[in-house]
Amino acid sequence: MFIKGLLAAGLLVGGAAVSRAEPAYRLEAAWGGPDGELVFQEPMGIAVDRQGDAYVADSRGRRVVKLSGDGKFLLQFGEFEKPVDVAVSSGGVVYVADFDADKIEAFSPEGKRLYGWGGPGEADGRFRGATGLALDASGNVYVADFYNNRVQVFDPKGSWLRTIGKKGHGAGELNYPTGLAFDLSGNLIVADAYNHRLQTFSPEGKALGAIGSRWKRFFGSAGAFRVPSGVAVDAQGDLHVADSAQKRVVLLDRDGSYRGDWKVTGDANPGAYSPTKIAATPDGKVLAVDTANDRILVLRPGANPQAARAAAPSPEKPKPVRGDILVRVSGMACPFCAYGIEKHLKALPGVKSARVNLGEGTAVLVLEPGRRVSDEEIRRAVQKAGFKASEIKGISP
Amino acid sequence: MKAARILGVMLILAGPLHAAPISFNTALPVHEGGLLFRGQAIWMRMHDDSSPLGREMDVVAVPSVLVYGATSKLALMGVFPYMDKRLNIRSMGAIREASGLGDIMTLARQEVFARNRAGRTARGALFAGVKWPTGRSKESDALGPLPKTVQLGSGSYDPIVGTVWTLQSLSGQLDADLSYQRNTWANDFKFGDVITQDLSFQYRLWPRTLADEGVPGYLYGVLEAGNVYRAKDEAGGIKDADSGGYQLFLTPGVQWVTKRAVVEAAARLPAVQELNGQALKTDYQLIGSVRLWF
Repeated sequence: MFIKGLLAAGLLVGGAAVSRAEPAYRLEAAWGGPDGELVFQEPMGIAVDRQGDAYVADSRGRRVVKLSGDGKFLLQFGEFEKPVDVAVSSGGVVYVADFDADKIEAFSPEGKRLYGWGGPGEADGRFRGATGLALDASGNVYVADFYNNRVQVFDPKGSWLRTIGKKGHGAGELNYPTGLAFDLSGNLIVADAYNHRLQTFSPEGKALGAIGSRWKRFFGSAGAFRVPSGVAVDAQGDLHVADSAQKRVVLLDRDGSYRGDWKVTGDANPGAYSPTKIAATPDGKVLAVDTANDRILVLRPGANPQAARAAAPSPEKPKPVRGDILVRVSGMACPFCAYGIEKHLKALPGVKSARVNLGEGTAVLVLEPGRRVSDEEIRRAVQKAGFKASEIKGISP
Repeated sequence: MKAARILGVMLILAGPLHAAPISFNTALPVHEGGLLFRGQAIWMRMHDDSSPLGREMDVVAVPSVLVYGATSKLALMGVFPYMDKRLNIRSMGAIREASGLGDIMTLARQEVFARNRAGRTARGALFAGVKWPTGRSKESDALGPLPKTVQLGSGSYDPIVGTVWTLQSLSGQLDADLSYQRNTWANDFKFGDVITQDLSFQYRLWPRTLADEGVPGYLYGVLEAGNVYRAKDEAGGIKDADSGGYQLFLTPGVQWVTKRAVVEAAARLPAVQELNGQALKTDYQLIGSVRLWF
């Protein structure tokens, strides 16, 4: 009876996930699309080589297209059934995941076929929907095996080495993995799409952690994913996530903290999950594959309110703050949280006023003339309020 | 009459220990040195009597809650309920009633888990406390001693333990709690032990965006579910077949939350009432509440 009640109560938990979009990127260009010179047909995968050239897996075009760093067509190659992802080794070998053929094919930078492996099945070295590719520092090839709910690892020539993950929702388990990337520590990040999270594994396959979950998406958190299908790591270690069901690109710190997002605009196919895959370029750009609109979006991380507003409707950026010290407070999410924080900060000797900006998660201190307050005092005050000061910086002109 | 006892338990528990923010409170911190006052007014109507007695019970309760932040993680709480109980037994033409201070409850809540991210937090806490026999438990009227359910207190010292968890983001909040109250003997009588479990979801209806600088007030839409399972009462070593049972309440409501005050209102509606024997069932409860931070 009581259990029945618990279940009934559980049914109450629901609610639309609402993202508070922030212009974490600005749109620099779009390659392809209805007005572009390039014609893609449902592009899905993308990779960038050391020179900055991009390889696009054009799934319905059944080809891979090589583009220069500024989006100029260089060449195309392959006769695929449905290429959905691509990866490039440091030596220039281009690996292509052919979803319908359940194969991985290797090519030279000029598009000459070198070798391939795979085939349909569940045995080691076989695939049921090869969807994602990534290469580790040794050149080993990691393949997201979609319907087998695992990641398979091969040496650069295609010999099977090991398998990571199995179907499930727990730590180390996968539910339709789609995208792969390596962080700067050499750990594998898996876009665990239908667990609505990114999972991190050691190269040997030990689960290290997760960002997002099946449940977080119900709580309206901007950092909660819905079907994240692609992930990329840039030179600073920041993560860029193609959060396909929410039609956005999400920027995360290297520790996984949410920094902001950017919503796709000009969407002619709102029902389709897109962007699907993502890549970071050596010169700091992010290339997001907007499959639904047959184009590649060229994004630049970093808030640029004017450009971002032009590209995507998003809330107004706050006015420049005036004060002496800005304190970023983790965990502050409601008005009465703000009261305790303001009260304890105001009580610090030398602080003239403290005001919280709830939407930004910050508190701004104005000091009495000639007075100073140490970071440690500020941290203690925030801690007394039950929260954590994650960043303290001077902002006086 | 068991429903009246369950109300008594709920009033006592309507302190800062429990999750649902209207019927209860959350695991979110009371800042160190901070004081929270919560005043509630609850009207409970129980006129659904399956027995031939024609019982109708109305209870008005005004519990006052004080919460003090001893540290950023430890909160000390006291619940001081004023109650007015009225039982009309239509078949006898008798009215039994009592009013005054009920049983005070004191509790300590210790935060045991906190995970903070930008614009969101997860908190978990354990709590423990005691319900003290401060309410009169031996009241009589012209018809003799009042029924136990009409008495203002149980006369017993009753410990309570539990846990409460909160997930909060800028858009909404989810709270859950679980508690167990061990009722003890007094006056050769023991109320059945009580397990309660609550779940509350609050969603920010307004403002829709938080673009402006400062701290706006929030208007939350609230939906709560509260499970109450109560064992049978015992008198003279014999269990009362017409006591105890299970109830599930659903509570829609609204909250206006500012930096220093909360005003809230809700209706607590029974969704499931599987009470033992010929128990008096709850029709509804109306709740109004104000919270102030100092």
